[in-house]
Amino acid sequence: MTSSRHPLGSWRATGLALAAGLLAFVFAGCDDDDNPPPPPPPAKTPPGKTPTEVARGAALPGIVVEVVKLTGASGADGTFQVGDTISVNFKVRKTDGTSWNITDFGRGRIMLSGPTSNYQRVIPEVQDVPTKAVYNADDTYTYTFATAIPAVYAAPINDSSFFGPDDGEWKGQPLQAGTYSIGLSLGWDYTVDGESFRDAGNEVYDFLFGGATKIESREVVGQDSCNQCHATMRFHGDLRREVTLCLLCHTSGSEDRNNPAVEGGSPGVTIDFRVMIHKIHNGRHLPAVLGVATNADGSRKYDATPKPYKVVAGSVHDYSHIAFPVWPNFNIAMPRDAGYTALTSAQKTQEDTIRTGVTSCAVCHGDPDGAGPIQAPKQGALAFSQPTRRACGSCHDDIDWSLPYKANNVAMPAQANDSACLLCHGVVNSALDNEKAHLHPLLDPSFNPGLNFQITKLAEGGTNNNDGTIDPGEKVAITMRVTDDKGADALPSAVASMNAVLHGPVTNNNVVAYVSIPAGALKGSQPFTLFLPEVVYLESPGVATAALGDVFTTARVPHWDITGALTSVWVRTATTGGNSTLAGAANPPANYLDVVDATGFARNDYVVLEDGVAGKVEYLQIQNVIGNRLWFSSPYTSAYAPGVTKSHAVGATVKEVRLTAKVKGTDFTINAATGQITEVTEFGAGNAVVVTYTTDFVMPATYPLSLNDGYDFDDAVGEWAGKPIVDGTYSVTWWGARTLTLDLFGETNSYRGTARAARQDFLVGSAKTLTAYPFIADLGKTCNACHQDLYFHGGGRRGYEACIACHGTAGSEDRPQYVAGNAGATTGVSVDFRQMLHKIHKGEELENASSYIVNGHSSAAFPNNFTAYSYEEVVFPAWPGGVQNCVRCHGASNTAWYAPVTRKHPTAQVKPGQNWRFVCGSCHDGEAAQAHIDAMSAASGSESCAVCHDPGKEWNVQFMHKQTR
Amino acid sequence: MQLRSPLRSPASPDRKGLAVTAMFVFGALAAAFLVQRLLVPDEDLVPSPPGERPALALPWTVEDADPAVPGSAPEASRVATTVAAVPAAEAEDPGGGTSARRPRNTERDQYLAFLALARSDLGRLEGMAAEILDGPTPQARRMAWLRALYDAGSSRAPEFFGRAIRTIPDRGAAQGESLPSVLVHYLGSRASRDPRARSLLEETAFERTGPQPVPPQVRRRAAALLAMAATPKELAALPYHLAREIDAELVAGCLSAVASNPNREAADSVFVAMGRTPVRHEPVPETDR
Repeated sequence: MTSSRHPLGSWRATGLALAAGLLAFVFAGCDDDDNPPPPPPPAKTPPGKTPTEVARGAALPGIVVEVVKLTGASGADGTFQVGDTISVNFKVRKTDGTSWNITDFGRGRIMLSGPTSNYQRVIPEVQDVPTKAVYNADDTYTYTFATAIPAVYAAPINDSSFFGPDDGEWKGQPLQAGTYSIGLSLGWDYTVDGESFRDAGNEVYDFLFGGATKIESREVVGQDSCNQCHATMRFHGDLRREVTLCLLCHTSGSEDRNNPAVEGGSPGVTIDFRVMIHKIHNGRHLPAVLGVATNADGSRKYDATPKPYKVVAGSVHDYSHIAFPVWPNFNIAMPRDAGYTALTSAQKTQEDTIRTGVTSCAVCHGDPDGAGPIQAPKQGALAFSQPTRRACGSCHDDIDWSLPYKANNVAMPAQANDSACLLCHGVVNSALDNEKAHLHPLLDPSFNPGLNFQITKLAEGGTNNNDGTIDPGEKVAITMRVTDDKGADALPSAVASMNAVLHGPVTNNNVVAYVSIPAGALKGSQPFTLFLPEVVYLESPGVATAALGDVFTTARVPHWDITGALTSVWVRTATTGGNSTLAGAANPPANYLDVVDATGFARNDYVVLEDGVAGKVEYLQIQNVIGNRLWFSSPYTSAYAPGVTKSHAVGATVKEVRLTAKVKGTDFTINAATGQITEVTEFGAGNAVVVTYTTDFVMPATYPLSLNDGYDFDDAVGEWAGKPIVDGTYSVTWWGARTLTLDLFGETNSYRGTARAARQDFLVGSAKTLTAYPFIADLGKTCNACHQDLYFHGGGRRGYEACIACHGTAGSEDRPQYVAGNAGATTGVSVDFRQMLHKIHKGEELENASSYIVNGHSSAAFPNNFTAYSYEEVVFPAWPGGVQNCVRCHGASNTAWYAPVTRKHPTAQVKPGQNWRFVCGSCHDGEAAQAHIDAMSAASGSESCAVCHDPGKEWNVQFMHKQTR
Repeated sequence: MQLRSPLRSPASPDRKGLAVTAMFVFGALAAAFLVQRLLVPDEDLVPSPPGERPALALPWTVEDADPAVPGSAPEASRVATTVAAVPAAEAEDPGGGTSARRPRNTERDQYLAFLALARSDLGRLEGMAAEILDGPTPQARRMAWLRALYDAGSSRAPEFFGRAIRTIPDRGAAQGESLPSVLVHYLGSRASRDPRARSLLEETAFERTGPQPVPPQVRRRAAALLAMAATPKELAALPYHLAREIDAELVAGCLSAVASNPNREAADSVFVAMGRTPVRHEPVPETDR
């Protein structure tokens, strides 16, 4: 416990003041009535006390501290000198402009540090401001330091002999002329419903010392830079909020506790800001944390003992898991160093983790996106122009400055001090140029020219009624431009991959189509016009005869039949293996068949249903067999047909068949326009022909399955699979990437230059007016406040729109066991952002943090083709309240979070909505909260949440999440 | 400077007696106030500052509940902390955004409490096994306890992991995956860099002498995670296990994972030892899926 004084802790002084007042009263009472009274003194009554009980949801009074002036300078030039006693004249105002009573503050601390070019402590912090500050007639206060400015610098916090002058520590050295800073902190303690909180005001005031002539305030990082993620910084019991104040204690040579009883005394752990902040934000990627050090010859040592990055304060703080959430570095690595290929797998893992560390220096030291509103800190360029062993070694902590350091075929000799840094690292545009070396290749326009899709028109096509909206049965025609970041047309050949999702309605997005588009679809000159594609799986257009030259015509035309979308033809040559009947009816869009006996069926087997039954025959390919259930797919895994397209009753036959692939040109020819497949080599009399082909997408009459549909969800949470398409605003979201290869230091690095997804809204059915996506404001700008950009799925998806296209759809699930056999069940896990994004960002604050696991992509082979992600180390950095600070993501102007919207299908709803459970239960995951949800839900599933939590109700969501802080 | 009582205003001379009485009453009250204040230590008079919470029942009887990261840590060091007293300005914990932070039933808070206990009395933490694993304990608390044991380097962690994996049902719930599944994931995420994790995965996948079997799906996943991360020496042991394995899906999944192991030659040897043709699965960047 600290020895700081609480507001009520100063009652002793208050009592003395009362006694003095009493004596004054007594003497006044003895005064002679006959003497004329003196003129009334000027009003010097301090403001009244402020009640410390604050109603939940009420606005705080606010604390605005402003230093008006310093007095006590003895220098002829007006600057302070050694031996001067500083008096600080300051105001403390509330937000409404009225003054605070200084004794309201339980904590009132002041210190002097400088110079700004290399902060040292001069007068260490004292804590007597509330008791020593004198109230002035002009409604200000004056605090006078008890000690004069000393001749030499004080020791840094928790000083030991570990750091010295070469580390920038000037303890005991004479004060240098320069800009020095007074740091003043006032903390007001209050309660809300019995819980204690603290509001605070900070002020840092710079002044000239020792004949210096120009104020040079420290601003290598700006407050806005920190607050873009942290909202309002709050440290040390919420008392410290300004980054400029942090610098006054976190000076050169400052250390953590150095307590021999804790962490071995934590020798060499500095809290120097330029070291500590780099390390904290790069914790997960620090070489030392990963067990990487330097051998005596300067080469990497990968088997060093890992050193978790721990700072000992009142307790041990381990920052080894902290990752900086800024893309592209967050999951797309910097280029490999020379020799990477020759490393062992474990060493590569270490290197890969290091290479995804922080290099986005501009996020803190500049204007993050170069476009405002955050301004680059005035001294932000120092991050590159003033390299030091401390600053650079904070992240590159595998370097031992007493040894040489070899990297990328260059050897840096041992460095006894910082004097030689710029000789190599200051050479602009060299490989060792500080700024260039930290530039991620994807942000380097000389390497990544950029890729952009701009949909300029979306219209109904094919057979249509020309009413300006897309109706079931109509095609979707898209006109688009493809450009680089300079706006120049990009060649289709530059595009390696493209995908699109059609989803809607915007008030309850369901996926309608999820498709890959081959680059060959971009034909002719810009702008390109094409129809959205669709794959037709395993259609059987007929049975071969004994006569050569059979012609089979598919149901849909045309066939795209281009690279990436070729038509495949098989001939059924045998019935083999599994043979059973349905144990349960199967109706579209079901993606599984329950059979009486799954013996003989296996992954990748082809099956035929109701063989020989006119109008009922259909072919499918099994993706996985789990128990007696044959699983197929969903729109998300396009290698397999999603599921049945016809209804099949209990008892219908299910037989495994052998399909033999035929070769185009050798076995058959195609007329793409007419959909005719002509037999060139005999297919075999009586053999059924089966065709998979890509054709133009046609708006369906009903919704398909959700992405990765595993039946964990249904219309209770808005999943409308199999239900009629609802009129409204829909969107096509389109993304793609180019492949980029960087050869550097003898290593080859592959990147994807991914376009931010383009979205085009359109109307379906009788809808008349486009409706904006209502759940997040400002198109994801709130995401970029911390992330700057978004790259997921191997870097192949970029930007908020790409995320929403899939993760904004109801009922979407994580990778199911029918796709990845060894994956966990993850029952009830949705990748719908309503659940997933809440949970991910609540991360370590979830009651069951480690138990929330989401199965995602993997490049491994079946059944291990999944990656299980958990988020128990995710920290939401906004203060106060973390994820309770809803507007940090939803946006200040957005009200969608006030209550989950109703997502009932207008004509085919079956179950009562359970959107409160789905959304609120994502964060409120504890047993008590879940029990509460259960208790407040009927057996039918109906929720009563709105009775208490709807807007305007006593426990409305807005009120309950409001920060009285 | 001279002060005058407003009660002695010339405009109100008739109030002089009242004023004198009031002064005596005020003086008596002030004296009593002073005596009380001067005799009682400050700390007894003040409400607990934010973050300085009283000790609570377990898991919060671990008095050195230990904030670890910004956004969570109360300001002051806890009661019974092992940290020595230091000047007040240096005594603050750095945690941010913390005023109202109370310990809750989150896995993290319990983990930190258990970890602190492990630092001070590992035996006591290990001694909670029956309560944690056999009683009606929430999964968050079980997971927190097991993580703390593991991270504290308890030599009994393997025993407790194995017991949890074998005895706690492999059934997920609304709160998340089953404990056995979560534990295997936990080990898998550490397998590439931690031989203890690989050893536990091996035991989970192939050790069948325990009182209760490991659920099949959990075994399969453990075997695959081990195979992906195994060192050449560990890969060399795989054929021995696989040759005795009766779960064909486990064998297939494990071999599929071996094909992804970056120790190529050792991985090939597994296939050869199994009488199969080596398969190498080249990790490829995901494209559209």
